[in-house]
Amino acid sequence: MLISNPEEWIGLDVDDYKLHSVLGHGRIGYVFLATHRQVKGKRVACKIILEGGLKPGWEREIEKVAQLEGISEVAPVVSWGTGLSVDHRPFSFILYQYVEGSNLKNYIQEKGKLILSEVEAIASALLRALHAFSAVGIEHGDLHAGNVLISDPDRRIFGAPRRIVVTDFGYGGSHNEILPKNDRHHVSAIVLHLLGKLRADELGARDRAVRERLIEFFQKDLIETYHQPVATSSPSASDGDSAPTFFGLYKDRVTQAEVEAARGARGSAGNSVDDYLNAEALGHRKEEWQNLFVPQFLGAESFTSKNVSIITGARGCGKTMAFRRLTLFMDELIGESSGVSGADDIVGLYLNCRDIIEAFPYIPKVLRAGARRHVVHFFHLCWLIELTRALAQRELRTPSDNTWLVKWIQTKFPKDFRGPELVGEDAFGHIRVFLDEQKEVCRTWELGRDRAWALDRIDLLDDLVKEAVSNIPWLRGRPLHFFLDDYTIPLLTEQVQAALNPVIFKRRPHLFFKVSTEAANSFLRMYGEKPLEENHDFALVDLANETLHREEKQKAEILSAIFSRRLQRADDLGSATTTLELILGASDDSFNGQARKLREQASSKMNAPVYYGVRTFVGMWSSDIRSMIQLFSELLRQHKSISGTSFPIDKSLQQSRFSESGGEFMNLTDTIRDAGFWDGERRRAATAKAFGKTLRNVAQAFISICRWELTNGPLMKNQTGIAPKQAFRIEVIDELELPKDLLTIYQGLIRWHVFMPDWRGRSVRGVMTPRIFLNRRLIPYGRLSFSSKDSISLTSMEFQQLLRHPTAFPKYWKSKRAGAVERARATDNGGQISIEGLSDDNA
Amino acid sequence: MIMPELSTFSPNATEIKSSILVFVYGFEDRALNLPEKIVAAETPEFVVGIRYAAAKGKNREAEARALIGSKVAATNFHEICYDTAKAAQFESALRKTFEKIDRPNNLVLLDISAASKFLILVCVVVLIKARFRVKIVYSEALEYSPSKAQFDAVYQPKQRIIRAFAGQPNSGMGSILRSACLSSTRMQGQPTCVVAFTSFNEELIRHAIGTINPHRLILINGMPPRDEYDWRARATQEIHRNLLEEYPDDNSEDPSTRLLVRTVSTLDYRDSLRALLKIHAQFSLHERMIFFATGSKMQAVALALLRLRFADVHIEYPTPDSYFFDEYSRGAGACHELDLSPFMRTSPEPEIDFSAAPEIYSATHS
Repeated sequence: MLISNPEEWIGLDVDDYKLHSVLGHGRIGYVFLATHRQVKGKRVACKIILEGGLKPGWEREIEKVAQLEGISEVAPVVSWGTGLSVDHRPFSFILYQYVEGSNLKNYIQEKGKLILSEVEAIASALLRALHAFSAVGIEHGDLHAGNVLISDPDRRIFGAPRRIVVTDFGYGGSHNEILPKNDRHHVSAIVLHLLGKLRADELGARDRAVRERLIEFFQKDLIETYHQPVATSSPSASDGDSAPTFFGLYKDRVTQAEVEAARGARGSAGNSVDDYLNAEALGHRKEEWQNLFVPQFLGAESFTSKNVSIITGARGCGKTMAFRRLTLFMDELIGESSGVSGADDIVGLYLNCRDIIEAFPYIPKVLRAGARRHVVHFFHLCWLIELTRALAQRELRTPSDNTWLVKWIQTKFPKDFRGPELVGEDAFGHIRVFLDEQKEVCRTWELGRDRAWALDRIDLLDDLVKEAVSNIPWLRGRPLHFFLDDYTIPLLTEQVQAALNPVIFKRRPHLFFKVSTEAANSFLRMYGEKPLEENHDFALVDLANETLHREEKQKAEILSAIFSRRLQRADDLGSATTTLELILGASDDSFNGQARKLREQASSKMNAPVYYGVRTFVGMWSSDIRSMIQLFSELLRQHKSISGTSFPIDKSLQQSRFSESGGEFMNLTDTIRDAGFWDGERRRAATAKAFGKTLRNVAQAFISICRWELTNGPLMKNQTGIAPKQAFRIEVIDELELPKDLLTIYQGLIRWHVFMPDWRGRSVRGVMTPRIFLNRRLIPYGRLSFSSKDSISLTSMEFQQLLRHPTAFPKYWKSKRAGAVERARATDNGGQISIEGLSDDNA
Repeated sequence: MIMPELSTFSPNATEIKSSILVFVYGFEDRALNLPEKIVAAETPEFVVGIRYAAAKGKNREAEARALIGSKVAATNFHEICYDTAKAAQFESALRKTFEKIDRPNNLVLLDISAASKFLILVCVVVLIKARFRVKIVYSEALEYSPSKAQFDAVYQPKQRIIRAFAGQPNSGMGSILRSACLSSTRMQGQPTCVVAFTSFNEELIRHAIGTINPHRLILINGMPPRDEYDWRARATQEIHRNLLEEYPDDNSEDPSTRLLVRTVSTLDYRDSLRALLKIHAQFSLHERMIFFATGSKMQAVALALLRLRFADVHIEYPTPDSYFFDEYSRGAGACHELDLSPFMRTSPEPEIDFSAAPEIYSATHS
């Protein structure tokens, strides 16, 4: 029988307390808030059941709670007894510790929606309580959302969390005939209900993986372990010989999900040489990273140097792979350092600029101050998320105190971010949900519409890093490297780069941006109104240049290391065939020898293979790893279809494939369009489609004159004797000025890696004039030599003519040079010549 | 509920009278096929014409205006200019136009016959989010380019080059269109799963992956509804052979047909939607899902429905024309309609209800 008029009970004395207000009711009793009659502020929850409402054995509830004394997830009993109501009706009462707050059901209603870290905290608390019940051999008997209390934070304690407390035990059990209800089913029902309210598609990576595992655990594991004995020694399933407990299993499920989320996709690809042509294809596959990442790569020292660096190189040159591998996140995921020299002295974070453009589909031509702040805020948000992700990954291995980060975010988002509220709630989980939501807020907010952005200060990262370093001991003395990938116009427009450059190029002692961009001219060289100065504001590292100036031996070592790892894991090669040397064989000739053969062949029409062997393969490398792997794999496939696994590969086949590869590059060049076409510059749209053709024609014309020099030009004296001129580099010998239309072509050649700039430029009257070299992949196609010592010297005017009239230029050149050759022959000086107006490096 | 089927278009005068007709001024023969049929049956209350700023052919703007202008009051006739250079602005222009029209209860007849896939995506997503009842109307063409002879003439001698083109990532970054209503930042930082449809345009996917470098690339092949076009499914697959070889694990072939297991109708959106839902259920747990609208118009409709349902679906649209093939159609063929309202669940937020496909709708997405 339930009390019909609870309000009339207010003021009634029960034990040492006075009933103060109604808190709620169940099926048989009411719960009142009661205050101590003498001690001010002392309060209890008083459960009152009228006589007649009681069933036999109700005292069992008190016994149960008594056995759980000291368990923080259970509200303790203060007292119990019987009394008389104002109308003299007998009743029984139990006084519980008062938990100020609300029950779970109301808490959810008030909050609207819980986040996963809160669900996890509740699940953990319930499982801890369940473990305690099992340990003393009792069942709660009546677990539901109404009997799970969520306390208000204790105002007396700064930052105190909300407690999660189970109350109102049922009284079924071993001392009476009432069968207790199954607690594990009840806990499952409570948690699954909470999980069901979370939409997977709105969660972050870690949370959706954990959600799935928790569903599995609460639907299956918890129920199936019902009859298993409870191991009381340790909550961890993996400790000692103790049987797995449901709590241990739960923790294992969460950890398993966290690892899965970090590793990304499950499953693995087959084992071929050309698996994973880009770093992203590797995803987070730990073993493959261990297999395939080579710590010795081009320009490695500039990735860890203490300065702001712009890193460029041919597409597929491995920048992204190095960037990603040098991060704290990957170190933690893989469980070891990258092995790159100097990497242990830095802490790396990674962001791909695609994340920015995905959030800002529309960038106006002019970015007003509000819009710039909006973009900067998002940029900082991305880095903050990356830092949080990396620290969370580290915490899986080394737990640490992260309250500093919670407080720091609270200072930035005082109105929106309250931090984790529930006891045991994962701070990183809570932070990530908040930051992910902030990203969506940013994305859906119209760019430039007025709003205050919390992370819009240019020096925000300085502040964050300072705070991190002062709270994380292992960060001290290790500068943070911010690896920013694909900082390329127009992927990221000039306007966006103008907004971000003050953050990126700000000088700091412990924080350095390492920025990858497609080409040396594909980023904005401005800091506000001031031009950015190379070597002063940033170091420019062109990996293509590295291939030009590195010793052949060094390059061969790097490529060999990359390929031997791929060859070792390939299923379809013999176990002994693990080196480039074994598969390609040696190149018989030096570059000079190769050049002489080419010259002889041109006049004799003989065609014995010249381009084969490791030296040729290495010679074709212009920093792009991806295309080298593709080239090698295609060659391998062709060879295997003819000769199986007998190596080395036939020289003619090698030459044919290497040459075709250059032809394919030229075909692809055809399809390039002027970047202005996509920028909406209508006046350039008409020429845009012909743009690629022009680039190709320039390359073809240059190849033609290089080839002419090699086969028909005068012989040159170099260190090893007399040899044909071997050039694939253009050197402008006077000050270069290009009109806008030609500048577009010039920039296109560089941008699309048809040519690559040689940073060892030439100084003409104190002004550096450009030297550019042909993409080395085109050398067998053009039947040129790999020697990088010679150049084709052009006057500025000639260079302009090459760009403007590429198809006519070779005729001009040959005619001009034929005269010089004739003159040289006339002097009969043993084949050595000096041609006026031309400068040859190897003279 | 069963996923609504595409049915033969039959003009309903009562329905048209209180409708808002949205159509695009294209240049293909079928561009005005449906607007003519609709207007002949009854005058819609409002008309929204979408004009391409940079038309690829001679658009039939004057004809379209004449057709509408003679029937619809000038105040009820709205035009929106769609400029690919400012594509992301189209979304807000569309929204503002419908706010101006202010008829939240009217049926929207959305003619996608001459619409680019980007326009289809934005229109479906924006209008459904604005709680309009949307009916897609669509006119097929009589003939699609390239013909078998045209294809063979180009492909046979250049097979190797075309495959190499299609498989080589291209950094034509500016050629990718995005819009706020199609974007998502969910799961950024995770390995990316890129999903794209095959087509005769070898430029589309290579541009799509030019800025992404996916962890996983899934291609969905298209099978035209008419038997005489069966060869097209094989051809579009062959063009992308190099890419399929680069990502073999997720693009298995049916040994009996030698076509990709994921080969779906280019017309029946349900086929595409099922494939998309399966892919999403299979990979979205750990990967960032980026979809490219590179297939047919009705496949774009399926993609829009997917976006409406899942917050983590990010869609982009590459624009380059094929270097080798002309893809324009000739003539006007069968006309279809598809009422999207059965999908709509309007409370608390407008979204798509996929209880229609329970067999593939994973519990993890409930």
